[in-house]
Amino acid sequence: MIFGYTPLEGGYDVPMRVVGANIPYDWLVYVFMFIPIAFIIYGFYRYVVRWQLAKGEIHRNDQVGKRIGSFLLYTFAQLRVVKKPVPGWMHFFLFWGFLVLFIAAGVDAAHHWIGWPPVEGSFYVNFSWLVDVFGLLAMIGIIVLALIRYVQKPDRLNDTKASDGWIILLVFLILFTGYVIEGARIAAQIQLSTSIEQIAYEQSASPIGWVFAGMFAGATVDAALIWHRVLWWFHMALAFTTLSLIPFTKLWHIIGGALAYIFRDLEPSSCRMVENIEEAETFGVENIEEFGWKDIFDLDNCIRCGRCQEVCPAYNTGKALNPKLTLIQAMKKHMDEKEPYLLALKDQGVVAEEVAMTEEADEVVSPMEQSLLYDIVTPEVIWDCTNCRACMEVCPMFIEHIPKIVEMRRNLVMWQGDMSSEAQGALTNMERNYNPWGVGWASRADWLNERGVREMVNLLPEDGGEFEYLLYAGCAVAFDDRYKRVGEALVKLLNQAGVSFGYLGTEEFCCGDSARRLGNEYLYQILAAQNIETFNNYNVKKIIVVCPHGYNTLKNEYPQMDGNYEVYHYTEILAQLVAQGKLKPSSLGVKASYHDSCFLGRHNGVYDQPRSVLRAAGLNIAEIGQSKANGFCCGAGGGRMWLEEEAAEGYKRINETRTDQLLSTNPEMIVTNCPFCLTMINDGVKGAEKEESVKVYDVAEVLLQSLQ
Amino acid sequence: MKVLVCVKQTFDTEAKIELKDGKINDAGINLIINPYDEVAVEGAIQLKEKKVAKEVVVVSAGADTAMDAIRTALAMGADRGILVKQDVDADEYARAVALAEVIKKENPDLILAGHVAADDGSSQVPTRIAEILGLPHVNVITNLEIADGVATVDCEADGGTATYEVKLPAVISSQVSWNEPRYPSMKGIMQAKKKPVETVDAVAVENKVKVLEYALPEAKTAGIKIEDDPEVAAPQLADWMLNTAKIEVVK
Repeated sequence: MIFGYTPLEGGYDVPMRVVGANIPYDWLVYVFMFIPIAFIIYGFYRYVVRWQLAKGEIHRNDQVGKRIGSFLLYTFAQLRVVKKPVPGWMHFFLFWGFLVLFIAAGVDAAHHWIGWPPVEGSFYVNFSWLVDVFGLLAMIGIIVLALIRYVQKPDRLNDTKASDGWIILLVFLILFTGYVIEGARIAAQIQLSTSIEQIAYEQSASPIGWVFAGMFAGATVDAALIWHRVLWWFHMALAFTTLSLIPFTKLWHIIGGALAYIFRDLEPSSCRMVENIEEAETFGVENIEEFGWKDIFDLDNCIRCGRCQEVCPAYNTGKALNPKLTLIQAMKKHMDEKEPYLLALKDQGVVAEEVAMTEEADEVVSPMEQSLLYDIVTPEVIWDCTNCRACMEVCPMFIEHIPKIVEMRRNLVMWQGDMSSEAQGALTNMERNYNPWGVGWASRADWLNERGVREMVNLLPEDGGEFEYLLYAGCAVAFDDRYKRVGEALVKLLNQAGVSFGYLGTEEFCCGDSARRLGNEYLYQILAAQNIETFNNYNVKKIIVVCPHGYNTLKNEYPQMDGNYEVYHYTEILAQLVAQGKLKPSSLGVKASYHDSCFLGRHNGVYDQPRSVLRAAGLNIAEIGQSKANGFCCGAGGGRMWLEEEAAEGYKRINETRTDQLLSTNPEMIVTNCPFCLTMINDGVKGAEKEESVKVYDVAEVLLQSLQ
Repeated sequence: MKVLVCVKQTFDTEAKIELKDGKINDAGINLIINPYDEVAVEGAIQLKEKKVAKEVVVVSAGADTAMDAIRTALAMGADRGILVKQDVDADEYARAVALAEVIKKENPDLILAGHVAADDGSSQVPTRIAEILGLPHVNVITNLEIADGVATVDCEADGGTATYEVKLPAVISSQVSWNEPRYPSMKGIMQAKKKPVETVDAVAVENKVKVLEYALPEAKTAGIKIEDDPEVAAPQLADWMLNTAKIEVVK
């Protein structure tokens, strides 16, 4: 009916409701609907234009099946979101509530226009009930989320803006007015019906609406009908406004999130490869538009939930780095400001300075002249990151923080030549002696004699025997006096279990992890290429790596340079040997805290094998809250092993903070699996003056002790 | 102002020194800029950054491989290089003569060098150059300021610092504590490839010193550890000193 409207009836013979009943010109909704659709299409187009400003290359159109799977799992099951239980499940309710309401609106419209699906009878009652209940869940969701933001006020939500409140209010009002409309309709229907039985099915079909009908208990039929009519249009206006706002507010995450689940990084944890570095003309990212489209897309997806901030070891020890505010949001604001200039440049082909000169007053610094590295993110923030991956592990939008940090470090190191003297020293050491300690490379195999295990090792350059596994011992085993003992323990264990292995000695180079994560991609590639060549010369197929940094690099990053091997961390091998009965530990019966290194844990998901070894050795592992995927970094990742860390005022250093967590269960022993962690935790224990009562060991040492 | 820096290519300071047929074996040894000279290069580049110097020229006397040392200095920010091809066995006198010859032609306002080379440690070349050229010379400097053709330098002195003034041109040699040399960026390395490096032959002069023999220090043997109460440990230690280590007791 174009003019006039379908009158509301006091119940129907077959349970149903007539969409648009009592609403004059209800069909106009289908016309107005094009307003939000137009806004969303335009907004989306603006985003695409923005992403196209990115000059960096990132390809995310492979593995289509996996991407679709990721989209389904993370969108509809909200797997990442619910990792943080209370707000996560509230968001889950909100998401599913609105999804069901959205589907219901579509079903109603379809029923209205084409008469299908038949929303009548028991189908109507059940379907309507379901929608009513999901709406209630959504309402509970938004109320609890509002309470979290405004009453509980967790630190992670430390940048609440007015728009956050307006959006909560809009969402709440849409849900709330929906129920009031339903209540007004039911109240009117009750009065219009000849007997309550005629409309009783609504109590089952719309249980929440039935309660809201109570609001109109004293009202006349006409009043209820007027309220119904007015609120119906108000509800539509709210809904269309909110939909129109999607591309221009944080509501963008509804679309951005779904896309993020499709285009997320599916590769194992690794730094991005720089192809043909010999021919590169620039290094890393100096200007924001040099990032890849996915990086700019990430900035737009940040919903400021602060989960990254909550877990960041730098933020938690008072450093300048706050992954939410001083990294992603700072970059987003800069991109927002710079975008018009970049677009003007692109459209007109004018030079940067001209745009900056003509459009900006003298005293205002044009975003074209602001430096991403020095004014926006700052070197302090860039160097604070330990690459621990805690932020990336919790981010519900799969934002890639570490690659952005590494890209900016690449520019600072390889282009600006700007880094601390400690970083310089470590890089020079890796360059000249192929290890960050800087000990002469020719003495790389000396530890074998020093620790008295030379006879147990097939030193390939000298002995040249057959071997199944290559033992990639790494720099720490060769040059760190404390860690040499771990190398010794491991060699003894492998020997005892009859594992056939070879060692490269002086032909082994640093894996390059520290160089790469400190931003010297060039040096990394030289080291990696040399190792790969050597591995191939010795026909290496399987590798046991001691240091988790080397493990991650060899396993996840060497394939980028065609170095493909079966790579194991030594704890994986030990767990296997124990399970096979090749090593038979006796029980030490010691209470211990176990520290998950970031590069074995979060970066590679190896949590259980080291624990199984320790349990076999009779350790009683007292798990602390911050373990496994929630593990807190020791402070040495991302090349920070070689940089000084100054404690921020009022805070302890990262390693001390971590040690306190590990000491919280009063263990007799702290066990790690990484040479950097061992050093950092050892220092932490000394700092806490507990070195007499708490010993810090590596997994291999513990297993060897239990065998003796 | 033109600054000329003399750099020597030396073995990496962590290199394992081995003898082969009575000579130092350089197989597998990484070559670097002498760290003391690297400080001089950094000092020169800083003068350029402060607009005190206009041009920084790097000169190295040695084998063809010394080109790498020159390229490293260029990557750090020096403007051009001169490789003086000379036999690696040249002694300090021959080196100084060869370098002085080039310096005379270049006629710089300031000559910088490290005060010693990390390999032979003889600390002679900068002083000899000053002598040959008849220029003033200050040694082991830890700071340098230049104004109106006069250099004011802080030098390491026994237990303190001495501050001197010296009129340019002069030969000034650096102590490592002067500055922290920069790490060459890829930008620097790429630019260095395009910077000019001239190659000249060294003036032929006879060495004044002849090497007779090289010898490595005797390998350290493991020490002993006596863990006991002092009254028991002391006689044991005395016994070890007298009978095992065979220490001669002079009364």
